[in-house]
Amino acid sequence: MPRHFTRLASATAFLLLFAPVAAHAQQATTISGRVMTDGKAPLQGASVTVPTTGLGATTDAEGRYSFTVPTSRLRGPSSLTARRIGFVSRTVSIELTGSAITQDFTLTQSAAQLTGVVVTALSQQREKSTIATSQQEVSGDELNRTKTNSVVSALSGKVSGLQISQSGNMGGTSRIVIRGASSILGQNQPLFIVDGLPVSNQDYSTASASGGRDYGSAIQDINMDDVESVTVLKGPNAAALYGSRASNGAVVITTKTGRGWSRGTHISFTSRFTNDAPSVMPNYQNQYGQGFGGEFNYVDGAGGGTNDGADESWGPKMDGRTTGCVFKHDASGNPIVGQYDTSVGCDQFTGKAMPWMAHPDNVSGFFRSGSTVSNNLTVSQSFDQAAGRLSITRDDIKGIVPNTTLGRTTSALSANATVFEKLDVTGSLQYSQLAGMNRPENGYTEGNPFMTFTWFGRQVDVAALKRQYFNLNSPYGFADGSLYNWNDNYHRNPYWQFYDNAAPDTRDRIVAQVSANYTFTPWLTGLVRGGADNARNTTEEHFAKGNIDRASPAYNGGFTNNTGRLREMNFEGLLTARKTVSFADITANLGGNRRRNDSYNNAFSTNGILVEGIYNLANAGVTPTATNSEFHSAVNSTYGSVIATMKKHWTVEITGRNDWSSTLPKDNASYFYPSVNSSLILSDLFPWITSGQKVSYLKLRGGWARVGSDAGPYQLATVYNGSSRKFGSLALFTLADQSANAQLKPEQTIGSEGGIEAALFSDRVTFDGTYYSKISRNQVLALTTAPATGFSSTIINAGQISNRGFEGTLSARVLRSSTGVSWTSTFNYLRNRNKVDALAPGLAATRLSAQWSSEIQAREGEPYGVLFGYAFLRDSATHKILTANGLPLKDGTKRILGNVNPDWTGGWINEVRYRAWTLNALLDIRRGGQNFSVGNWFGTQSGVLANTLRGREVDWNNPGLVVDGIDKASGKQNTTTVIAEDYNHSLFGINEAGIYNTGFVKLREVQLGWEVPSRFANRVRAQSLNIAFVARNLHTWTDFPNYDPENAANAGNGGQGYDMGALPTLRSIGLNVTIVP
Amino acid sequence: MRHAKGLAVLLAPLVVAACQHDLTGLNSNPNSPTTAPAGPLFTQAVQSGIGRYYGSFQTLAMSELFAQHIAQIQYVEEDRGHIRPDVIDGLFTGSYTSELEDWQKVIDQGDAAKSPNTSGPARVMQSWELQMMTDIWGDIPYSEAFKGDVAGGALKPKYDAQKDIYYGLLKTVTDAAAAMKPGSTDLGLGTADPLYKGDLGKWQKFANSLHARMAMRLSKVDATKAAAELTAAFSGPGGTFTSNADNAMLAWPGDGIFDNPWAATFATRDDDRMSKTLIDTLVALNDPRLKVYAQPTKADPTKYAGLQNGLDNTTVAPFFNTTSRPGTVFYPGATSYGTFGTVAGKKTPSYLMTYSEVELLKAEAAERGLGGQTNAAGHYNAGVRASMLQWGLTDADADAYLARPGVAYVAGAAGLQQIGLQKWIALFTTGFEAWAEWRRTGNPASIKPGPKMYADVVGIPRRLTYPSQEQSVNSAALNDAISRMGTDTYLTHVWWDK
Repeated sequence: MPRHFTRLASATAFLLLFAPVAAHAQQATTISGRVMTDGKAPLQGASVTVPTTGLGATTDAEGRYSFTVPTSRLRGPSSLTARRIGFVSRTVSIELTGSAITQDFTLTQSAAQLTGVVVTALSQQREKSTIATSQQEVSGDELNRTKTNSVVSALSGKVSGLQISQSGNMGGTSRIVIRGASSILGQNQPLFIVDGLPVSNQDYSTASASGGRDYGSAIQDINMDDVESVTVLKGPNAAALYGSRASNGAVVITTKTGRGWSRGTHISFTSRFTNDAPSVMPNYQNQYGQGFGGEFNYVDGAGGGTNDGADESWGPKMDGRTTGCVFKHDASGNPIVGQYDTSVGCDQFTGKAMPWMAHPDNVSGFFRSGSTVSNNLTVSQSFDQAAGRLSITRDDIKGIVPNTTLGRTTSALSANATVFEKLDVTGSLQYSQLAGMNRPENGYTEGNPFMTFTWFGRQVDVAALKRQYFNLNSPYGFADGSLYNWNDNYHRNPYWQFYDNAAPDTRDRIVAQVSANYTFTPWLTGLVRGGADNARNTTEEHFAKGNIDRASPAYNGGFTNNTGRLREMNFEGLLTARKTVSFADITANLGGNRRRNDSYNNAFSTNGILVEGIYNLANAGVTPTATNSEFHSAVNSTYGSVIATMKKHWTVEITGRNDWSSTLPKDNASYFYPSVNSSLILSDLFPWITSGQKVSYLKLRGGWARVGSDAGPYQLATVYNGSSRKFGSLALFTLADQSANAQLKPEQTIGSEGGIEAALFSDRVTFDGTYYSKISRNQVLALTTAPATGFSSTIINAGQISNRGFEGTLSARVLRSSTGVSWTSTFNYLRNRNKVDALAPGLAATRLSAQWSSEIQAREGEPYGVLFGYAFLRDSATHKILTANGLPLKDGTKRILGNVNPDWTGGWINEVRYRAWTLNALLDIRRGGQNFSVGNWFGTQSGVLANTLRGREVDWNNPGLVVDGIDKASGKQNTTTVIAEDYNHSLFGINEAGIYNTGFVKLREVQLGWEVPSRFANRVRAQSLNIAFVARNLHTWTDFPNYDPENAANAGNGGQGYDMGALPTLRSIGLNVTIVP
Repeated sequence: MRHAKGLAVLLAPLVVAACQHDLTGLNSNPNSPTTAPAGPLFTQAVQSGIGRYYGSFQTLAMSELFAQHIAQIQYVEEDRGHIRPDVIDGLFTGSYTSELEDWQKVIDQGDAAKSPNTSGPARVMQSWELQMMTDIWGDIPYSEAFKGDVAGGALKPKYDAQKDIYYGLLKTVTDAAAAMKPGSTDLGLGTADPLYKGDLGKWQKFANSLHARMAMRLSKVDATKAAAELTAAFSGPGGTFTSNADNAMLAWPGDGIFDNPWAATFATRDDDRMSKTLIDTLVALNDPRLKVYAQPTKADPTKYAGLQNGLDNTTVAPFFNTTSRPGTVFYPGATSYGTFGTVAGKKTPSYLMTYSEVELLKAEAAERGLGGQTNAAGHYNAGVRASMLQWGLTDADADAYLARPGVAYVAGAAGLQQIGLQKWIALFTTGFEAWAEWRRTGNPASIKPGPKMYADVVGIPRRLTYPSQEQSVNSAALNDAISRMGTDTYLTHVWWDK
């Protein structure tokens, strides 16, 4: 034992210091060779191992590998396997005798990966043909073709069964849902696993349709450059062993390590640059300027002139006139509508009698050209019995909104060592630092640029606002220091808004883990693994003097400051037995896990400071508000599984897990959940299937699982909330609005699925499809209750959501010519139907979120997430709109207006290779689904969007328009002409007018890569050099007007179904260069 | 043997996981207690309820528009008859789940501790707000309310008929006044009472005064009950308000957190002007309160002018600088668009019920021969004088005003008109009561719908529509109430509004 201890200590020292353990000189066998594709291209990143020894190497850019088997492990006849995700693995027999072995491999690309070694639950590697559940793998290369900010956005379109919505926000959140939402009010995000341990995907976004900023989500801290592969476990079946949080599926990430490289030092450097621009811009009208009723005259921008408090565009026609923006008046002082008084100049904020003209680029000109620069350096060192890898990435993002930036540094250190023959240890440490500045606000607030330009005067010269803001002699505009702006009622100069109101944020994250794997006997191994995920996130918002919403005008500004700390710790032990008995290969696992989650939040704010620019508590003029809170929970688990594969083609897999959760009442805290899955390779059982040359592989699989889930902490007792604020000197306490439930039970999700995997026409076409059903019941719900109960909600166990659907991947090797041209095409598809089967007894609907009197609801008998709100009042016989005075009316009873769920989603990937050239293109498709577009709704009411020109083609109110409907009083077809302004204003309150389809097709990714021939690469002293042109979101096809239909304000459930003119996803175009010196 | 040791190490976590599964202790909330003292609950509820019913959306965009004390100069939807559904939802939901529930907890604690001096003020405050709510909507949940955390309590409370609610509230304030014991060892809420600093005698007066307000509301629909209850109110233990020192009012700290709600609104919004209906009346009567209630126009600092209610964007625009803003006492000094008022404006109190109102109630009772009251003129004069003094004017101002023709009291039907008019003037800022009294008395008759009202709200609202959310969470009870009341529109009359 002491000897082992010394080894362990030295291994630990290695892990900490990244220093090599002295390797003992031994007589050893060196195995080397080269791995090529069947297209005769070198294959980098393939792993070549001797499975019995656990030793191996990964190929370099030239496809070469080399490793040494020490004498102690020489065991005569053995096998050598070469494998790489995306290729069919190959195994040859070798004789480990001590003399050098040279072995080359040619691997055939599998159109889709139906066979080969894959990572699955518990991060164990298994042969895919024996896996009985639905899962799909993507290699790091595939994910990294174009630069994305997280593994989630990189997955978009590449895996079937997923719905991913990306954000246009700098560093923003992407929402991922696997096989539809299954929790009514809880999380619908999958569990993320990195190298065997769960990591947080905490949603830092505070964005919603009513405001807040999108600070991204925690999974973005995992550096994409460090990702070796990702496996998506789609159903509760696949994830049964991971426990509660995987009932929505699991995303299992394997990171790169130094293990398996040929001995020596390996360095690679990747540099990426993209230019970023909005992919979609609203279509504004450029004919009518600010004002109401055709009139405008600027005095103070706050109502003092004629309609100069208006932030709408129903003013005079922008025909370049310098006089005559208001009407003549009759003798008694009443305006003569339509007759402009040309003796009066057209006053604007820029001066008197200024030309009243359009500035068509006034919105697009506000945005700037953004960019993303990303550099990664990877160094790995490999020794006989140890290896290490260090990776550092720096990303610098310049946002499209002025004065917005985001910088991120991530580093990852991983090391592994064979301490002695039976003990392997590994350790890894990922540290990331993120610093954002002024992430734009979302939703209905002045900090969202599109909100500013939704309530806007179309004649406004934004360039003049910019010039004025940057005029150092008068930074705030007028001589008296007041702000210079087109409207002082509800808006600030947008440049002032983004430059003077700073909102810095920082995030530090450390994910660390160590594990030790001990081989007791050739068939029994034991693993202990421990890890911690720590994050600290601080967000600040500074409100300068004069901020219109957030600072008291009597003071010199205000600020908010929030700090959150999160920690998750896991400690796991796992015994694995692998045994082959006469006809069956059996693997059994028995494990236990302790998980502990802690979070702490501190926040303080004040809306009044004394000295300008000092955002410190000591400078508070108004008593600050302070809050602090902490949350703790723990889950202990034991679990086990038995997997038996009979005669290589029939696999049965049984799993069971029991959790004890701290968040449930003692009597309900323990819950058990089992799963059973089976797969059968029909083509092996019945060889005649393959005899026709049409079918080369056919596998059936099916399974059933039940997964339990606990509640959030502290939901068992109703509490009183205090406040740091005092009323004068009096303390305050209030009863919470939510009543608790001391009898909570665990939630339950029952999943079943059946799938088919087939390879046709000599593997040229492969198909992997699954039909699934997922039913979640006993949900922990905050049930919206009648407020007269004294509570707005109460916690109950109730409700059921079912999701049923089909997901499939069809992949074809369309072309593989002898000239070296190959073309593969893959289509991923998901058609999910979900339904809220039940809520609580007597409850028809519960509200998920609400905006402007509309709601997103879970409503019994309907899909999860219906839009509910006010519609046009209609005649019940003709369904035509009813009108009064020529204007539409609102139906006083709210009804279902739409459904936020898409009909189907898909991704179509095409890859063409020709010698050193590779061309990839990905189309991302979403069909069906609606949202309530507040941006369009208000953009219409404010007269800024191009669709508001109808009815004012001739002059501000001529010819007007006639609503197609029936006059409510007379019952006859409406013939009353109304002016466009009155018509569009009448839409206020009618949510139906803002409902649009959100379907789209996006050319999501294009990459043209060139592996520079080595004779050129060598001239820049590089072993290999890869140059790629990359583009994201090159084009969007959609019926959704003006804004980006894809909108992920945050990863939660509440942000779905609304947009308030969110920033569009970015069209990024640039270059990637990877050099291996 | 080595393997056995290894096994033991590996199995340890399994054993640990399986055995130490009692994690329940981790789930006790470290942030918030499950009990709270009555005092802070009461304070919170008081500032919440008064902040709500004197808040900008509930007064400046609702009751004060209906009462035509105020008119909107920008964003004029409400003045044209469309109240935002979200605001109606929020008013109903917030009232029940915040202050009314918190007062209920104070009542429960007081009853459990046999401390009527704790529960009494909470009962009075809860009754004050519930009366406003039934006046706003008609039938509302009452007898089955506040039982969401009581075993077997109603999760879908029924809507009680307004008559039953009034009868219940009258009994509650009667009992509360009788139960409270000034000067006893039961210290009740003590200094946590921001209205009267624990003076139970004043709470008795408030209970009786509120009793009179409720009773008078029934004068048309249920005259017998009104008469009996007025008598009971004026003879209740401790009596009614006898001076402005008794006024039920909340003095706002004015610390930037808890400011007078109008001052907080006017700091960043300039959407409101004085209504033409009120300013014309004040000008015609040469009322000295004009210069307190209103500011001169920006265009002409010598002139006071009101804005016609119910104009649209186009027709309202020319009046921006030619109509009066509310008085400087309602402004916080520096605002987003200039300086109005002084910092002291943030401390301007919100008046729940005043001595002036009590005297005017007595004047009406005397004029109608109710409640054992006599000397209508005396009460009328006292009521007008009290209002003058309340707003910082002097006895001399009151003397001169009361001598003016049109102000000087004349008995009979004209006297009732005068009482109503003076109450309407005195109730400036107390919009819900002013609106309710206009509905009861039709006084002043000068309140007329504006010229640009929306087509579906052709008159001054007689109530608010029910919150839309109730249709989702309590539809059966809601539909019962609607079928009792007729239709759920702004123009439906509540029970007492006959």
